[in-house]
Amino acid sequence: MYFCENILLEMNNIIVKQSQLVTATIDGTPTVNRRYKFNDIPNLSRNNIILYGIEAYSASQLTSTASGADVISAADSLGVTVTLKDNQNNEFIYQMPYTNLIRSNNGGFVILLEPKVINLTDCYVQINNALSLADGDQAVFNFYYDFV
Amino acid sequence: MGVVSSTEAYLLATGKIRDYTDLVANATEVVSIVIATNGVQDIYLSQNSMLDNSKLRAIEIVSNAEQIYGNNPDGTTSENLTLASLPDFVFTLGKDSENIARTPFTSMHRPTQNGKFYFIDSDAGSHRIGDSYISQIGTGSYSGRIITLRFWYNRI
Repeated sequence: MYFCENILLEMNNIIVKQSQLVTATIDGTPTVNRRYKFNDIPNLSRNNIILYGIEAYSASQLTSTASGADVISAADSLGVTVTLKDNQNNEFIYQMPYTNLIRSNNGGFVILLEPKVINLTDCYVQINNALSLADGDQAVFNFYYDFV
Repeated sequence: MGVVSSTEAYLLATGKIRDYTDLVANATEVVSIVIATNGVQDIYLSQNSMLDNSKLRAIEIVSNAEQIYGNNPDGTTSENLTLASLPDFVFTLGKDSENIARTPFTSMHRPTQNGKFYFIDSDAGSHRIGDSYISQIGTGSYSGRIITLRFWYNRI
């Protein structure tokens, strides 16, 4: 905790209400500027969750997804950005570097968001440098959310 | 407690964030399980009615980098999971068939997260340890290793 002028700033970290791993698949030959939509998760993709925190994983934190796909490597994550859309189709997080969402890169703090009703399947990752990304690699996130 | 924005005030008021230096809990319990076989698998935890009837405040995974051996119920010990093997595992806190929170071990490993806890406020009766499970999602061979989970909870 520290003081900034007259404002007391706390160093808050997330409390998990509900969490779920969500993925976006690099489908086909990795292509610069192409957008890869988040995969559908039926119980999260009906504009029915309020997202208030997000965390990303590279293969250094998670070797594979539940479906057995490879998670993008730490080196390849440098070429990926993330865009999140709310239920009004606003890109409230636009092209955030993937590595900025990896918790251990932030001293153990999870990235907190202003709570938003999220449109899961309109969110996407985008490649700005294909590096060694491969067909079938998946970007993996932990969504920290509450139900609407 | 001072705040810096209405968003932060909202998150604090609705129990979604907590200062990382706050008192975590007033008690801890270790839940451990020995991995019986190799390969991709789901490993369910034993039932623990004491934790089921307590408020969970945080969960952490202990690797052999912090504690080489974990304790078995029969008084013997087994070697804890290695630090390098943590990316091969995911923990799911559940109740009945509902998954409350699904989290890779690396997120629950405090040294990896610069000491920060994985806070989870789950009231008594909102979770069931016996319905919670560990998924090995990598193909590594960890048979015979013990998984040591430390639950931080408040005694009712």
